[in-house]
Amino acid sequence: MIMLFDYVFMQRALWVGLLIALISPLIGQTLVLKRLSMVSDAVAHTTLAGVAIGIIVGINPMISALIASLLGVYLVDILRKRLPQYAEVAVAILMAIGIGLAGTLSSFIPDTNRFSAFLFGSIVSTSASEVIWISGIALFVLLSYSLFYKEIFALTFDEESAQYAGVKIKFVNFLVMLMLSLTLSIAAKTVGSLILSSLLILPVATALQLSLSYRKTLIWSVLFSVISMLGGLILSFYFGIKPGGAVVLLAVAQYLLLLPIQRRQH
Amino acid sequence: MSYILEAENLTYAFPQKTLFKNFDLKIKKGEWIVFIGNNGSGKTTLLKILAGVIPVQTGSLSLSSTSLQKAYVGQLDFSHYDRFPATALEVVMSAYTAPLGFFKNPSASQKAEAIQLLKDLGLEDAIHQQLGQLSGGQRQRVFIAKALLIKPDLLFLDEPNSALDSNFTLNLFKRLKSYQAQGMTLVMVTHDLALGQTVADRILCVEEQNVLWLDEKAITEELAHRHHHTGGYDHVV
Repeated sequence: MIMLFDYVFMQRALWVGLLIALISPLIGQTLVLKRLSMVSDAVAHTTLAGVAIGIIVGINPMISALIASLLGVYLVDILRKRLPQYAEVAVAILMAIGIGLAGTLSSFIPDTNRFSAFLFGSIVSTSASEVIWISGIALFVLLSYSLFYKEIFALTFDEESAQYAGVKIKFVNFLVMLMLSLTLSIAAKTVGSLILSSLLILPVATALQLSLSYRKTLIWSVLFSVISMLGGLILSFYFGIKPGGAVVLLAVAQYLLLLPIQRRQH
Repeated sequence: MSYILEAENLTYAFPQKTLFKNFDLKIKKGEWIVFIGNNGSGKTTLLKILAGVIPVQTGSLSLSSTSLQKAYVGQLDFSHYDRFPATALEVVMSAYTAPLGFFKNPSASQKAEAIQLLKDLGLEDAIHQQLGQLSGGQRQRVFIAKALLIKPDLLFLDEPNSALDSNFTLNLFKRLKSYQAQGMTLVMVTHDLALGQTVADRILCVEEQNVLWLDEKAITEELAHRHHHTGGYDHVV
């Protein structure tokens, strides 16, 4: 039997996949609970626009993706404040900007395969330098989350009352959005922008069905995320299917499998 | 005389309606002030302005010190927390977030204090339960516990017993009285004048653009008018 670890590209894919699976639910939990699930999708689209700009201009697409996703997050924040009653409109506007820009700019890219790799990812072609980038960013996200765990909980639970109590909400909000931008930009090349936005949300939605505490929901979300990521990669290796799709489908399968538990509780 | 909170010339108006005009209020440390009034009279708005939840429109508001700890427990939208995965203990412990600041986590003794407070408020069975699995009254006590945990100098409460039965109301107000005895200042909105009369040092009536202090005679007359029973809260104090 062919062994996964015999190949350097699979070693890299598994390591990078594991890191992304570890950090995605940390950000995803805040997005889901603040009813901002679609933000990840919208920012993912602006990330794609950033990738297109990077390829056209000739800079590292991961850097241009990061800048675009930071701008996207900033824009959605401004729009949400301007239209507080219609937060979802802000998300839809950002998504429209992202899709419009990504679609138009992609026409100027001669090698369309290079661009579409960012849509669904190409984790098995992760380079050594990308592994270092991703490891650094994942470490930053993990450290930030553990250092500011109680502040992120306060922000997620009730932003207004946390601000009233004196929690530095602006900083915590910025930190969460920075973590989201960083994760989306590094994931664009590996699991793909569109697939990551599902990975941010699905494991959290699955863990929520267990009706646990905040901390335990987070732990289970990470576990579900790691299972679907590593499971998807292994399946893709042995069955020759696209890893991104396999990962998301496994995450969906977990969600569906746990649905009866939620039904029993309600 | 030094006051913990001073409000001068407060006016608050919506485009079509003025809630109150040129209102002055001075609150002494350790006082318990109660606001009563009909629905829509502006008592919740007044409470929110004094608490600093909404900004002053006209007039001024000052506290005796910028380092005063304040806590505000508003009317709760219970359905908002239906699916939120947090236990009662996690919610209460989040009160430590601001006082501790960055990079510090609650100690074991602070956690024990939070657990004890939840037990004192009759929530021993709810400590590790998800908020969404608790009744409205239990959730209300969880939020009051969160406010009490940091022992604020100034506590603002908006109908804190709206979802509580009479037993828990008695228990809660006995506890609040003991905090008051230790120096806490309380400002509370209630519809229950009998309860207000029992616990308050002063009662303010917010009505038709006016804010009036009620004296004993006015309270007795109002209570007779409302056919309220005044005996229910005798053993709070």
